[in-house]
Amino acid sequence: MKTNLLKHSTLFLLSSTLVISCNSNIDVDISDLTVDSLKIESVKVNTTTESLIEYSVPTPNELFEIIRNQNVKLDIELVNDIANKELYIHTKSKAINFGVYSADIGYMSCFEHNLEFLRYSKVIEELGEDLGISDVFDKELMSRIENNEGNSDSLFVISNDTYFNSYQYLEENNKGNELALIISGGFIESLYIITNLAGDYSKDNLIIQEIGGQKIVLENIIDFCSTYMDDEAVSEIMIDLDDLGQVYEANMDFIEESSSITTENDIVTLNGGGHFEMNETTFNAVKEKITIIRTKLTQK
Amino acid sequence: MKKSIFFGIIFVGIIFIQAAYAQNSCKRVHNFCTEKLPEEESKGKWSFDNQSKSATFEKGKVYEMSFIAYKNFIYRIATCSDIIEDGENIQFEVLRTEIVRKEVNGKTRLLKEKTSIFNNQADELKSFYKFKVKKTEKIFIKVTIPTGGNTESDKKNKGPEYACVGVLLEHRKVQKTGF
Repeated sequence: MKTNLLKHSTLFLLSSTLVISCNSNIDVDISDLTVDSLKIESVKVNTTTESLIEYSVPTPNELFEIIRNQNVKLDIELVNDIANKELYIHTKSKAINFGVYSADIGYMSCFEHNLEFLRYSKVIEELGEDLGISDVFDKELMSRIENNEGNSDSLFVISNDTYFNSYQYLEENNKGNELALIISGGFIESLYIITNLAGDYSKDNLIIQEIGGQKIVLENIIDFCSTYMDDEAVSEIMIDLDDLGQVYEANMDFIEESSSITTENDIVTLNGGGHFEMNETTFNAVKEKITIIRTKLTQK
Repeated sequence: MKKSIFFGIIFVGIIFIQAAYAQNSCKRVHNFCTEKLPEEESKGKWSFDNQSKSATFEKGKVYEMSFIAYKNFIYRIATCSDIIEDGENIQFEVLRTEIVRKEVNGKTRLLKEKTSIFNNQADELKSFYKFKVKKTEKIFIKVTIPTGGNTESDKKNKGPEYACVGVLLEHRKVQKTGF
């Protein structure tokens, strides 16, 4: 009873926050700044358009592509065990772990570990069938995988295509709830993997800088999910995502910097601008939080 | 010779049918945004970015989408719709998000502000925009859907007051120079 009350109170609070912070019409968010703790409370102050905003999210593969050249080695222990698939009975866990395994094949192919690509693809196909997206996994796709087993670059492209085609299929067939869960699963897995690959904290560590950048990706995922928050499973995962967002916000350093724009050869560069930056406390806190969330979602 | 012409016609026909089908499928209209790019933009290798979007919208409304731009990549944005407007480009604006510290009612606050960085109305309705970022950033694109013109979607379900809008995102790696 107490747990239910707590859960519903949390959901209500989360809903209130998201209605404010994810309102598509907001041009300006005001946030209270307590300089020491960076405690943030969003308040809607201005609306300028009546249009609905759509939120796009990069695929896990794009993140792995960025860290590929950072002198890190594959740690195969980080991927979700195929045997765990038997634990996923409900739609929620199937969709989330479809995203998790999709991120895993992106990671494995990015780091040229092709041995288990086909096995993982078959697990994704089975979960996809249960989620009603079997059309994505036609014979052509599976034979493409079999024909390219030794070619990491091709497998990396295939894993990206599979994720994107599933995304498109779900979107076109109004399966937004499942899509929100898959995107969340893919994001959680990719963040879990890169936080564990990053090594020790240093300010110049490019992977750790990118872990900081994932705060913005997380914001877009929460905004995307908020469209489907009437669904219980989506609202539950949003609590986890919101918790993670609060870990970022409570710990990151605010860097005040004026913005500028420069142009060279018809390409504009966006420089500066106030932003949040990683520090050791944030890195450790994010690593701990994402491990807790990822373990919870893959072990049931 | 006759055979070549016959197969040529069949080939063009297949491409035309595929194009018409894709145009009718509003969800992937972004695949056709490259058609309005100037010839010099066809050079260079651009990778399709999965954050591209297409949607059906009421004419005269503003369609807005947000995507994530990573550093070390150059992005190219191109927009299009299925409105037949004598080849005229459609209007779009690109905005970035910044966090600024301001005093509001005597309290120091952090404000999330959107700043316009490009509006093609001021650039002869240029059909594309290329940029890169120094750190991961959230970018917004606002597309104003023209009020007039016939659309492919007239023939489909929604009626003449709706149009398909596509925002094509492409990227390529920044080439490192020097040692």
